[in-house]
Amino acid sequence: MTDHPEKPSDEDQVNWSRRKFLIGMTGLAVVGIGALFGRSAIAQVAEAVTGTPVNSGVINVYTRDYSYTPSRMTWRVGDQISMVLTNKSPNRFHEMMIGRGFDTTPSEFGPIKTQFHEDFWDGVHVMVSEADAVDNLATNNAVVTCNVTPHPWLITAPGNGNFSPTLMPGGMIRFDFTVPNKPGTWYYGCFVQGYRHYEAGMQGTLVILPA
Amino acid sequence: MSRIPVADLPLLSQASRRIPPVFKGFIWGLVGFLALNAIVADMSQETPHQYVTQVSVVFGWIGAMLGWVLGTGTWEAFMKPAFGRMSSWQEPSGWRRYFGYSTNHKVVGIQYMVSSAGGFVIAGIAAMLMRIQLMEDHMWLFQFPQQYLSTVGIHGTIMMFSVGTVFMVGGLGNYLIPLMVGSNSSAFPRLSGMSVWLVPFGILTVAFSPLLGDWTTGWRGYEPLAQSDADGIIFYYLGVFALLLSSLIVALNLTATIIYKRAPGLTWNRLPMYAWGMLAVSLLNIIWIPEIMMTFVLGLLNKIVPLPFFTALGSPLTYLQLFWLFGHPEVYIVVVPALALWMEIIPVMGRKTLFARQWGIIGLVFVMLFSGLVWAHHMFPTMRNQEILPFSFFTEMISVPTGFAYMVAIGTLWKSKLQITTPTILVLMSMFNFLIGGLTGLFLADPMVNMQVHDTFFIVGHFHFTIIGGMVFSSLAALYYYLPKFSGRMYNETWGKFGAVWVFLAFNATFAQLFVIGLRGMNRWVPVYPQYLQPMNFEISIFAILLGLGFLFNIVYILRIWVKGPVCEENPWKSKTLEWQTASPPAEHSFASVPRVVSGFYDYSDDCKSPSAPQGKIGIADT
Repeated sequence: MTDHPEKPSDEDQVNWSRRKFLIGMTGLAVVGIGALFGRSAIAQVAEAVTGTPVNSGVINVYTRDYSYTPSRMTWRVGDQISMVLTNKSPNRFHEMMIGRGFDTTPSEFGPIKTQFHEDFWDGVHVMVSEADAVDNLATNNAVVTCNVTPHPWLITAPGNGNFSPTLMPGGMIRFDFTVPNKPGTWYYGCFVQGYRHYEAGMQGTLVILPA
Repeated sequence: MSRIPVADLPLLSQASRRIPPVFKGFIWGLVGFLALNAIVADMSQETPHQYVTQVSVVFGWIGAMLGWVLGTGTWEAFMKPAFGRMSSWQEPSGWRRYFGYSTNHKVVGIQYMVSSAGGFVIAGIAAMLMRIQLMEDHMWLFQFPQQYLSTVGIHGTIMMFSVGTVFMVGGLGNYLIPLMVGSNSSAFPRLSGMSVWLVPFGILTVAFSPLLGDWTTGWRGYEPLAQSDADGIIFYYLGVFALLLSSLIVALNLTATIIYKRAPGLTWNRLPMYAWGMLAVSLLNIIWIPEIMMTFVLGLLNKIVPLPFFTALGSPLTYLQLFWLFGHPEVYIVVVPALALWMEIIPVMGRKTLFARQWGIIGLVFVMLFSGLVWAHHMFPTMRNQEILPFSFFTEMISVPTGFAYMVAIGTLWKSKLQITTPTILVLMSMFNFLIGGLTGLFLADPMVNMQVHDTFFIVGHFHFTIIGGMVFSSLAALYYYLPKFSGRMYNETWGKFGAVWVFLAFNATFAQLFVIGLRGMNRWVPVYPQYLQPMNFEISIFAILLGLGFLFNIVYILRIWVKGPVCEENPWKSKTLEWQTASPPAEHSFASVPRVVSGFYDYSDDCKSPSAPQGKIGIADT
């Protein structure tokens, strides 16, 4: 191997700072470990600082593997909302439940969350105005009117779990409703596939502001 | 005719404002990620716009890799001259030269070893987290099983691809092989100056994979299981791709070095055992690494496009076949260097001629050849009987060439004047552990037993005895043995033996119990298990933490000696191989004049003569 002809002689060599190097390496390590183990805390702080605007009118919600976009929403009581829920996953079914608390079932891995204990949609009037590739719609105690005929999906009666549309890959559903007078913090999540989706991060926070 | 513009030369002395190359690598890598990720994310039609998507993160990662490798010095030292411009690279002196691009094979070797040791620490911390979780029979350290499984995956991936495959091949191989064959450089010094930077990059990619989501497949990236994982699996495939690319370049470099850079007189008959081991391993790498890299690319495409290669629409078992086709030779990629190293250290410490040297070489080469015939024993539960039997046969048969290597070691030990130094006892410990790993392997090659203990902790015990017991203990032996070569300084025998005994006892106390707990019903891949296994798991965890501290002790002690140990003579072991015929540590150019080899290296019967002579002084050693 030949040396580069421009290779400087020894007296030209000036080294970079040792202190800068040590401080920089420590800083990078701290940032890295913080990002790895504190990512949800960092995300929460960022959300708390930036806040989320009040959503109204047409709201697009996307389901992915395994997250919602957006994962944080704010609605105001009495607003008219058209929610368009679209499944962006190329190969998996996803659903969206909204509620608080959990129903659980025991298992070797500790209690497994099966659904929300309190269903946000109880008694709410919901009109389904568009739908495509919907696997099923569990109505529970919501008052559902369906404008799409014939029903391309299965509607299950009350007693089969929380109100939740389950979408096939690429599927969408649009439903219109008035935000009910249930102010406070609610959560949404996907409990499909042995609740693994929820555990993998497919969850979001919904804040309902009073009118 | 162009000339180098003289006016530019003073610019070189402005180096005081330089930032350390590793930081430049980080900054360029970040810029590369942001740039390529932004371009690809921008082309996405999705609304609302997502900045990081599955596809954009892959391209962003490629940008980060290019930025990182170019930023650590490849741009100034390699790319600019390649475009006909002036090189502005100044290799710093002292410890700083280890944090940037270098074409010196000794610097590159140490960079590989240090990166690999860093991976060992990160993966070791992951192992400690796993053992802490397993101290109780329910979820308590981790919130979800997926987090535990991600930790298992990060541990296994970094250990296999950045420690097992890299330390003794990329690290010791790059440092020692040119010295052993009497050359002042490796065959492709600039290529290895670049490739070494892929190792920390790959380790960090895998270590940071949970940022994209948890993955549950372990170090094997199994499809179609990976299909139901979150996006973290993307960083698994990419990180392993970078690590394997680095190992592939090392393999090409070492093969070319051994074939073309040998000193005059260094015939194949005289080639040192470690060089034979490196040749066998490098050929294994050249055969199998491209195969598994392409498999991982298919796995990645399966995830991000997605293409149905390995799903129920394709064939779910295809991935397993492709993975283990590489995955079993990988075990020998890890172990063959260890076997070769025993044959390097034992004759020197025993002051006795290497016993049946040619059978040792045959053993190494046939282990290499057979390793491609045994992969399906990892899949016995998925196979029919008539498919199982030939693989059971080949698997049991591979113990024959392994036995050759073993017998060479035992034959050399027989009636030798063995000096009980730290490297010696570490080699003996390695032989003991590897024997247990090998004997339990015979049970696993047996289909009936395999069906019973498949995916239990019996298997975990078996491969940890083979890989930690064989490779890691040999690596420690190599570190203590070559410490005077690397640093010119000598460790203290008492502290060296203390460290060796510590890890040996803790290791055996940990992993011998895994056989028992496996037979009692402890399965792999579960953070939660039946209550009756809890006391034993608790105990194993205590010993595992002691083992972790033992490794930490050895690493810290070796680093300390490296920096400020007492200076020693240049060839403290009175070894005859060429790497000891230079100064310790070797100068910038290891050999002032190319040595001429006049006999083999392992004849200690006369106990004095050197087998090499400087050029032109053949007569002295040629008698």
